[in-house]
Amino acid sequence: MKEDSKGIALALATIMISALLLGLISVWLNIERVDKAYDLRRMEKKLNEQEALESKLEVEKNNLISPIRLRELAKKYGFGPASQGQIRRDRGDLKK
Amino acid sequence: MAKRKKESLKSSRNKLLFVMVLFALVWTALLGRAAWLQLYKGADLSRLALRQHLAAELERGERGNIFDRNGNMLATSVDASSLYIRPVKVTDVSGTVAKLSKILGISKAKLRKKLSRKSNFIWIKRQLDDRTARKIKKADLPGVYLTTEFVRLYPNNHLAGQLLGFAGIDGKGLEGLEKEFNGRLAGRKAQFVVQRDASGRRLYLDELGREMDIRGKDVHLTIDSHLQSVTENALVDSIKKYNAKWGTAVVVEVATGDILALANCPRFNPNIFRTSSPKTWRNRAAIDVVEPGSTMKPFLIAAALKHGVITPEKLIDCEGGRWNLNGKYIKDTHKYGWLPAHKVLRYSSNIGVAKIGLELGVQNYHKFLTDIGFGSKTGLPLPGDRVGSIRPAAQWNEIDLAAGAFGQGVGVTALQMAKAYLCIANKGVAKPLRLVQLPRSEEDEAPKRIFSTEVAEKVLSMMREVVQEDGTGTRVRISGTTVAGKTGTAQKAEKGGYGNQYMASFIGMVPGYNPEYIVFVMVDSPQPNHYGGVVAAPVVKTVMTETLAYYGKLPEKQNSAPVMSASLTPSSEMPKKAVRANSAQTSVSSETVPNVKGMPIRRAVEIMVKRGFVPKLKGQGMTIIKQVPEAGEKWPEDENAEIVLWLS
Repeated sequence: MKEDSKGIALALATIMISALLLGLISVWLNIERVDKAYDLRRMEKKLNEQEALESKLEVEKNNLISPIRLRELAKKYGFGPASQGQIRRDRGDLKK
Repeated sequence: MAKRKKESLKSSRNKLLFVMVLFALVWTALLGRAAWLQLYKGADLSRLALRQHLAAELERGERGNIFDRNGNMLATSVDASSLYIRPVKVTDVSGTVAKLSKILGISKAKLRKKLSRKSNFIWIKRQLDDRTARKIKKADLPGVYLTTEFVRLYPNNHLAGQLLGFAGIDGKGLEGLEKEFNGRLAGRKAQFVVQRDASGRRLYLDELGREMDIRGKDVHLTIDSHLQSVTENALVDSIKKYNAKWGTAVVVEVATGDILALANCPRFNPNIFRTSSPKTWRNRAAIDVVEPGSTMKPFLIAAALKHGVITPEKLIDCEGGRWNLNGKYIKDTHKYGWLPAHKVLRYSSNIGVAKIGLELGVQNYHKFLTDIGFGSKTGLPLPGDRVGSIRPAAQWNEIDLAAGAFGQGVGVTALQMAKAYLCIANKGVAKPLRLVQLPRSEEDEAPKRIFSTEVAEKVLSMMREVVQEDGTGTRVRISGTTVAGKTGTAQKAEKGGYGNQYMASFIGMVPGYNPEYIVFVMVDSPQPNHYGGVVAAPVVKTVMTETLAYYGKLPEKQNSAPVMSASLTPSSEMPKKAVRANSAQTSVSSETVPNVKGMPIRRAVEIMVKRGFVPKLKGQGMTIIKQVPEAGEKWPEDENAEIVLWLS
């Protein structure tokens, strides 16, 4: 009889400690989750900024290699479209 | 003693009972309250809590990009900050106005007026540049906020402006391809719920449907930005040189039907479209219906060949340059007599084609025109793509038919012309033009044979004569290759008839035997010269030369001048005039035809041309083996008489 009571008490104690532990873990996970959400938010903002910058740089690159600008630069450095007699062909260099 | 002890015990029990009751009451009250909150008010409170912790967020997707055939970016969207204010939250009105005025360059009065409005949200300036946005952020003004929007940018500025069109400040396509493909390009909206903390910061604790793809889809064109630039520049030069009102040009790759360039002039910059007149936004190649003039003649010839009405050698009386048809005079620029059909096209005789047209008949010509694509849309995804103006056959009288034969009284667009010439270049098989690689068109027009390969070859041969021999298109010759073409100089209709304004045009195909590229150019109201062979032809030549160079197909220059133009000035617009001018100075004074047998081709042709005759060459060799008229015969009196030289 006395041994039975001891077993019950031990089980109750284990359950209570487990419940407490689970509670603590749950709180810890929630804190971590919120913390990660803040991190994510920050990283997402940074990613958006980088993507926006990349788009702008892409525009700038396309602006720099635009036919109009290349034509101006070519003129400045004495280049121009290839005229007859200026094209040398290797086998298979014909552009489709 | 025992009595006191008993009383004390009783008092303790009472106190204990009191405490117990008190506790019981408190617990009951607490449980009651809890039950009240949970069971009775629970749903409402839960809703209130959600409203406090959750926030609805609206996200707009970025607009898709437009690329050329090589993946060069033609239109894109980037983030830009837009400035708005909440007047109720502005603490120092005059200070805010002064600072904003200095940063934005907006007048203080205008800003003050905006700030005085009783509104909770007022746009001050949208789509600021990054530098200005940084200054605003640095100023840190209460009640002044920045939000992010997408701004549409065209990195090549005015390149293909009319084709691309533009999108408005709210990212909606308003003109051109931006409008036509707005459904595909436009970014979609995503509305989702996010959690927020006590200070209102959004926390993305789970996906909540936020991962959906809301970015607009890209569009890939068949346009090549380099060739587009070449075409635009050549067109602009011609417009400037000849003080023209506007011009348009189309470059087509024959094998695929791809439009490599579609230029309009004057140009406009879609980045700052508001600074240009809406007139310049027109994609005239698709929208403007014009009377094409002589560039229509090859279709009449093709129809006549198809129905067996003519052969290239059939002689047509060109009436000495003036012909009365039912009381109306049809004129040629030169006084031609009898001309074979191929020379009717070469010299662009209006009377000649009018007569062929009358023989062909309205029904046949009308059907041919509609079969080849006139009178119906090109099927290209361009806003305002027009059907042109080809009246029903029943409404045509003889004068209409004669005029229609040389491209007057019919209305077409530049793109319809390009599509129709694609059929000739494709040896009689009509196929659709293509402007967009992606998305692929779902209803692709199936290739359809309109006329035979033989007919196409004959028309091409005549068009080669226009350029390679003494036709009206000699300015388009490219040494080392052949070019087929046709000039057009159409009188423009004004109120009360035709005036003295012209539409100059030129269609060119290179190489002339198996065309790979088609270039069509139209220039409106050029002055002082208005001939298609002078105004539009050089544009075609420039575009052709640079296109061939770009694809590495530009041939080496041949040392010898083109055979049939040995003694002609290369710049002669009206070759017959040139021939006559030369004949006046001829040293060939003999009354009889000399013996040219055994002579090199160049020398023999020079002799003939100096006497005022352009011989017809047969065979492929370099020396003459036979001649008609024979040596010793008198020179023909008719200057249009045919002289034939056979080559070894």
